[in-house]
Amino acid sequence: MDALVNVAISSSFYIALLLLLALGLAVMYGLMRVINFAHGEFIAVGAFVVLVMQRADLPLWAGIVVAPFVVALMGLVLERLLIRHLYGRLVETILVTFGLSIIIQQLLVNAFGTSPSGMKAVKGSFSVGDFRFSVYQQIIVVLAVLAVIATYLVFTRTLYGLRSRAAVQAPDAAAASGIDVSRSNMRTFVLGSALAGFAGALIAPIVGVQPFMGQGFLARVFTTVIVGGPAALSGTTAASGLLGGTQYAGEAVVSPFVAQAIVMLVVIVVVRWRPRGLSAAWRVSV
Amino acid sequence: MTTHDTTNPAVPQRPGQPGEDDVAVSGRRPRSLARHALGTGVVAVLVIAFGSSLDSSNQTRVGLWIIYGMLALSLSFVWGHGGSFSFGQTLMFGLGAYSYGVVTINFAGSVLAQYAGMLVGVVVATAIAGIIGYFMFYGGVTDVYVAVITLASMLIFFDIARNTSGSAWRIGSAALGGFNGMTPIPALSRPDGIPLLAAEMFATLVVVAALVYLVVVRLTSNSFGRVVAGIRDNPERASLLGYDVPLHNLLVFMVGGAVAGLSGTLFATTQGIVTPDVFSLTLAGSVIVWVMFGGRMSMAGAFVGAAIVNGVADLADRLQIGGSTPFFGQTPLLLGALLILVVFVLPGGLLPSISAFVAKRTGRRAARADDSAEHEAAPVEALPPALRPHTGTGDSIELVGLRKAFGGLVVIDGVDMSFTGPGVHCLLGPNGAGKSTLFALISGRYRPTAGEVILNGDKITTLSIHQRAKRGLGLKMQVPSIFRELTVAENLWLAANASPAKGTTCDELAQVALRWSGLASRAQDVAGDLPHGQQQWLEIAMVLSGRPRLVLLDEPTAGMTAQETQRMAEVIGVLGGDARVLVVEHDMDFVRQLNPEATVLHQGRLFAKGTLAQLREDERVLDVYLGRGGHA
Repeated sequence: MDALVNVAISSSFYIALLLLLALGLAVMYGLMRVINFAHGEFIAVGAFVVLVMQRADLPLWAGIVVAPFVVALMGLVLERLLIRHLYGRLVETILVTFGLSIIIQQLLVNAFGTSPSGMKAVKGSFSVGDFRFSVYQQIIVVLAVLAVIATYLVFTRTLYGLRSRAAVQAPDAAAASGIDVSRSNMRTFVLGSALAGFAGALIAPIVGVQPFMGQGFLARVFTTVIVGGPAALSGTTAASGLLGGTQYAGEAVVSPFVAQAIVMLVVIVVVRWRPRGLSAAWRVSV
Repeated sequence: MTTHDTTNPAVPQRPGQPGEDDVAVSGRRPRSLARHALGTGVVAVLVIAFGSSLDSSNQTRVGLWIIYGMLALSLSFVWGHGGSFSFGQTLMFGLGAYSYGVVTINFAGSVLAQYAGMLVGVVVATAIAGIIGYFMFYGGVTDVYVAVITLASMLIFFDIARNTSGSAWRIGSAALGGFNGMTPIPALSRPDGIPLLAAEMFATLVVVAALVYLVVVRLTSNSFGRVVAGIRDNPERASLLGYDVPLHNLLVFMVGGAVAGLSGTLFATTQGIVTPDVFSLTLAGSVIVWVMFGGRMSMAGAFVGAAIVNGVADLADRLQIGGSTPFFGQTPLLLGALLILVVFVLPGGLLPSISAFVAKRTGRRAARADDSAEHEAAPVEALPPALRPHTGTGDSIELVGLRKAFGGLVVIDGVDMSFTGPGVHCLLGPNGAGKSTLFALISGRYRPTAGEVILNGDKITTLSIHQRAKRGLGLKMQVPSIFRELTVAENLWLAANASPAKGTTCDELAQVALRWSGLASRAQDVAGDLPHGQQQWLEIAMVLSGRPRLVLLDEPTAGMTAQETQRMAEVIGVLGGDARVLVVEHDMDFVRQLNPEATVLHQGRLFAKGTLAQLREDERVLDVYLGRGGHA
């Protein structure tokens, strides 16, 4: 029984973490078909916001609240300056966002050095039988779920959500019916940036905050979104479940190294049989 | 490495002096290779001469740019020429480097092992490219997904390589070394075992790079390369002509992998160490910056881009202002800014922009102005023998219970049809009746939800588009599907090359098709610039070049003048004497000229069948067309 609880709690953390990290990217990809190669750096900036605030002796939760706004603002500026000129040109968007990612990395290095210190760990744990769990990990799981629900509500219950879904499915028809596609794209980019900042802030206490931290997530996050396919939320959630669950199972049974190889195999198999992602054949668009 | 034109076949070139009757069809001539070889040789000699004036540390430094140039060349070939955006091209580079290290460390002191190591590096890189490429291209992964998949694969190797510290991770006596890398990797030696001097190594690199460059240029301009250019431009048309698109994409990716692997082995032998950084995002991104800067369509641009970007980065790194080095370690800022700048300001890259500028100044394309006065072109003869299928009369096509649903929307709802032998048959029906979908099911663009397509007694339901094309099926699409970036001549060459005829060369066949199509005066124009009617004729000439025995024509007269429509009716009449022709058309005047048997399709079902006269008597058919009554 304890072992089952352990499996449930541990695997849900793996899945929630992946979902949290991928969410901002999935929103941008799902609602505007932009693959943001600077997503990892957006996450890193969110984490650095927390670091800076901790150095100023402000509490962690303050950083978690502020970081999404900072990264959203950064996203807004970059979208207006660069990204909006590239809509519909996927390759160019990738190139420019990649250019941004290495610039942001270098700026972080210049400002903080390659191994900044000052991040406090979050204490607190509870046990179930012989297993001990970190309280903070459970908080992350809960907040990740809340983030998904909030995003779902934004997509389905707001005029912006409706418009942006219309814009990605039929840009011409959407524009013809009076939807300002450029404006809804801007909002999507800002929303995606905010989610990246939120993810970065949340993980700041449990990973090393350093300028290259985004690179470490990139492969996992990208494959999650690609495996998820066009439906931003349901697809990414399913992919997080599949890949995060596989990663957990592999690590628990064999080793992290083997787990990664198995995850790659799963990705390859999915891509081979569902090249447009799990949700490509689904009838939901969110 | 040369100052020549780009190797992009999409750029129209005037080959030789085309005479009145002999318009060059293939667009490129072998002499351009000889020219390239000569030019490359001259540049190589100049670079070696320049290198000998450097001290040995600078020789090593510039030598690394040449190695990086080869890596960039592999990406230009895969991405610029082949159209597959491989973001993880350095995966193959790194595999080449590690493989070389493993072999040479295990057989240290053996000169033979060094050559073997290079071979192994190339083989391993090619094999991994083959495996990844198989899953991508046969899985139908395209566009930016190729970038994401290759990148993710590379980053996974990055993780793996970083986790190989410790004594457990060794292959023979070569420790992989984890984060610190694998070392010491022996430097390349002369046959007598003495390591090459820096100057000798430099000359070797230049010669190897020049040879690899020539091979790659050859692969962009020979018939394989032209087919690849066509696939990059319009994969669907390429497969409709009978080309195996996934196979070509895979081969290009593997060649790129081999070149990247080779440059990786050279990297390992000149650096003496390989670290997981060969799989890093930094290097992968750098290659993209070099290629974008030089011009991704230009194979020479790869070397120019690698040399200039690395040169500037080196200079900036060491630049001293008032005793300090303000730009030390800031190369990423330069690379990032350069990448963004190139995308916005110089999207074609440096070399193509320069050659376009030179071409404009020297007026190489001035002659085009004469041709553009000619607006209307149409075949002057009905159909030359070379474009006729000369079929037996036994060809048959059968559709059995064909059904196609997209999600819950049933577009084709149980269609049975059968034709034997040549003749013309029209498919009629209002918009949305399912006519184009039916063609897509026959040609293989869609797989049916249920039912069978049977050609000459064989079930072809699960065959791919190009396999059906090889069995004599030709499709002209509703919106002309041509190679828009290639010239008219190249379009027709690709069509002829896909279906070689006995006793006729591919060039001759393309020549016949070109003259027949009435587009001879526009042979060297980019096909996408043609007016709509001429694009129709071009596509039809391409379809007929395959001499198909089952021809599907989807609205062939859209955008044509009355005179052209008349001509089209005559062409179809002749064609119907040899082949089975199915025509979808809305223009009833045109259909009357054909006066065929016809089938009316309505809401995905066969609704009525008969001669045109019979159908015109049929009240139900009129209802369907006029939207009267309740025939659902």
